[in-house]
Amino acid sequence: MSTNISTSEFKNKLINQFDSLNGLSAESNRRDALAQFDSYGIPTLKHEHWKYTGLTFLNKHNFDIIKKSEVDYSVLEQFANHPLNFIETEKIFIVNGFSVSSNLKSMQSGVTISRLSDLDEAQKSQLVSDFYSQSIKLENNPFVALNTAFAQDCIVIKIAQNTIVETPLQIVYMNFASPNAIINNPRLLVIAEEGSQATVIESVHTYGTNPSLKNSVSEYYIGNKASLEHYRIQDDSELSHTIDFTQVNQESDSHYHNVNVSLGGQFNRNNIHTLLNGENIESNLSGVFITSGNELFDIHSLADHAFPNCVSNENYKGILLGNSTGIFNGKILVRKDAQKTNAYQSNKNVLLSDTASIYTKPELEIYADDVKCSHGATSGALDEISIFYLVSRGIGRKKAEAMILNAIADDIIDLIKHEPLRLHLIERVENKLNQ
Amino acid sequence: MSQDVKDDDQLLLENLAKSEYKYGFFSDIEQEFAPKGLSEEIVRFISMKKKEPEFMLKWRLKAYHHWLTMKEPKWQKVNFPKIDYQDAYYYAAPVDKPGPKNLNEVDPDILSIYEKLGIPLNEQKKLQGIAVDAVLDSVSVATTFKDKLNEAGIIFCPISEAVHSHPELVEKYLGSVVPHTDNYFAALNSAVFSDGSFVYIPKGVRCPMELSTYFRINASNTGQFERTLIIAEEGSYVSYLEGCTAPMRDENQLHAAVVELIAHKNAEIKYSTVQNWYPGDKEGKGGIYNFVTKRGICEGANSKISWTQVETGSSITWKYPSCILKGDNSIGEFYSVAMTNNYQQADTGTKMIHIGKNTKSRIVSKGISAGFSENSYRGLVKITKNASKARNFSQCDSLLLGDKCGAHTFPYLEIQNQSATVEHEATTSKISEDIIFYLNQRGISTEDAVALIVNGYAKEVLNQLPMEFAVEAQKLLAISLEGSVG
Repeated sequence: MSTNISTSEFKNKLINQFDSLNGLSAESNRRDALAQFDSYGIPTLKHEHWKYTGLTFLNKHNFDIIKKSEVDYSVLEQFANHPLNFIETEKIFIVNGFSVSSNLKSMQSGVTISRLSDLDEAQKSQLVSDFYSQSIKLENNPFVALNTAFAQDCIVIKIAQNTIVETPLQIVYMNFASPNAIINNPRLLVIAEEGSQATVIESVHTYGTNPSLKNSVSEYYIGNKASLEHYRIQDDSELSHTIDFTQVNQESDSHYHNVNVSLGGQFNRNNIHTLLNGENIESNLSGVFITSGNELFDIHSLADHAFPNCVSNENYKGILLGNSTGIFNGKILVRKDAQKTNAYQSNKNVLLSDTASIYTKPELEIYADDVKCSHGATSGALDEISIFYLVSRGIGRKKAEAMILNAIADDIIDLIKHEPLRLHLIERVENKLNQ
Repeated sequence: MSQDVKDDDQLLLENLAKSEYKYGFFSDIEQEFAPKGLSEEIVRFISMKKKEPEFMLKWRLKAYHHWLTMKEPKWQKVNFPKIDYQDAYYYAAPVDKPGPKNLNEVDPDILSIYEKLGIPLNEQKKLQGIAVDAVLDSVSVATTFKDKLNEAGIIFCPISEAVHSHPELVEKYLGSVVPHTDNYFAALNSAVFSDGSFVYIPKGVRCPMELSTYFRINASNTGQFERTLIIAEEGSYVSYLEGCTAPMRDENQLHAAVVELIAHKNAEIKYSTVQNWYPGDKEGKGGIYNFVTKRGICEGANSKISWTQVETGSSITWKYPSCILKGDNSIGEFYSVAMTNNYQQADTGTKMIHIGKNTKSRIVSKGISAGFSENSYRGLVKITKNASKARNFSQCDSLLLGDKCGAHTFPYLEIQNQSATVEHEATTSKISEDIIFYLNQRGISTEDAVALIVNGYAKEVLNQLPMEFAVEAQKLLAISLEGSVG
């Protein structure tokens, strides 16, 4: 069972397991990553990016890394009755960071799903030199370094030029920790080639008797004129801990939309970085989180404008109950040459309890002059006037509050274009807020 | 057409290059230096030189020893060569004569500096209703209007004098808002501060005039470590102005001041600053490092502290005038215009710490960057658990003039109370070509048009300044803007 372990003991324990694992990429890359992880260590509250995000659960749960042979795939059955199993998508299952082999084939033409390690040497080295780990920084990013050093499997999804993918691709991450707490390092690489269109859904589901930590890294490459809808759903149990990093590289005239809906999970740290690497790009990040109990939800986003004439929008909303904590850190970076940038960022939060807290830091870092950049952040209780309006029309106070909260969440959920998923989430939000 | 505009810009930029620092002169007054460097002996020397009571020496030494254990902070978004703290003089005073009784006894050289600056430190001053506690390189040389203030029971004197005349007040309040452990530069200041102003407004007194002080950096290589302490007793009011200009120097000079404000029940303190230290030349050479800790505490209920600042000078400005809103219903305000040009860097903003119930704060920050400068707003709004019904509104706008400069916003909002309402908004943009065109059409040159728009942009802040300062500040903005149209 769980016993407390010091941060350095935990770090060393992971490092000591390094040699016994079969890594993915070249040994030297993994060694580099390990060295980066080792030198940075586990972040503390003194690190600016972890100022409000305490990682004491790492000491408490003493997570283990497991080998492929130790994975218990029987957990797949537990997902069978989950509502998300019934929405019409093409599903790819990843259990404790390892893909389930029978599913590695797409029904749709123009879509190839493979395991990085299964590819032949030529393909593999090309992928590694062009994409894998190419746009992410390991320094000052200890968990990305940890993932890069320890990832043992990587799913590669390639959408061929001008392919329009009708059925969304759903990546189902499953965590299963029993009897020990487990840290998983799943890795995903999505390449949407020129002119393609697709929808990718990622969801996380935790089972077992002990806590799991999903430390994932996903890289998305979106080619010229390509369009990608990306939905990330986390409606998980209190055993669920997540630290994930998503890097999105967009080329000219591309369109990307990320909707992050987080309704549950003990610890949830999301990093999303978009690089606008061409002109006339549209890049939208949206999200809503509802936290309760002792949950923590943290989103760190970066919109990196490197070229002129791009538009980025960011819109995150938080509803906080119980003792929960919300953290938002959004940054718009406009580089010297990125003239005519139009960037917007908004973070609105509702605190519903005196023991909940929100820490928000919307940042602008701007080096070009012909830009329109703005951000806004608010926090407050529910608007009494709106509640009064509803109550005066014969609606009970509780119901009135729920209506307003639902409206806040649905603002974001309505952005999801996939109808079955949207309806499912609307219902889940209602249930959660009525609890 | 666009070519013409370019040429115009070029011309304006060249004009800017020519407009040198107006207040750059250096007057040779005999100086008495402490030996170079910083050590326990120097701290003792300063304290001895100032004939300070025992508690001051103890306090300084405590700060010095704490400073030794601290590291220079690195998180701010400014770049500068490493400061060698041992390569500076920590004490420089105009040669020690018995204190001047009237203006005739003041060194004429010193008086002439003020004249060049346009500060009439003489009887005329009386007519303008301003008492000036002029600080020249660490030691106050003249204080006017004392009698009038004395009548009201107000104490307005150099802090080194207050140490002798009112040790109980100094001992009680010095370091109570900014303790020596607060930060690296506050610790350094606490150890070696030379002088500054001390203001005490007794219960129920409304200070009959604007209090003002002028700081100057004069001697080469002398860091200035001013210490200002303002105490407003119950129901009192004071408006305090601080203005700076400094002679031209090639070596970077460090200015690490500490300002502490204490507002008791129903009291109000209004603190205004116009800062125009030497910003360095157009290549970014020289200039003042302005690393200042300013903090006020609204100790009692219904008290109010208002900071207004116009920052146009210094090669590096790094300060966050803050309010701790401890008393219920207390109010904190921060109005700022920060203008950077050439290679200037500014990392400035505020902290509003809400502790009391129904506390309110308002932040209006206007950044203007031109040339190769970097201008950052960094602010914190913290609503603690007990600060129910706290209210904050922040607005941080940045204006970019030219494509080589940067404007950044780093607001931190920490909210731990559900009944609090916090709003923050920020924008960054340039002056739209349509507006410039509109004004050009009506016969206003591009440069005048920009000055007009910038003044309008900053008006919300400038309006907060006392009259005398508002005029000076507008002029300063216009001077700093000269030719920066891009």
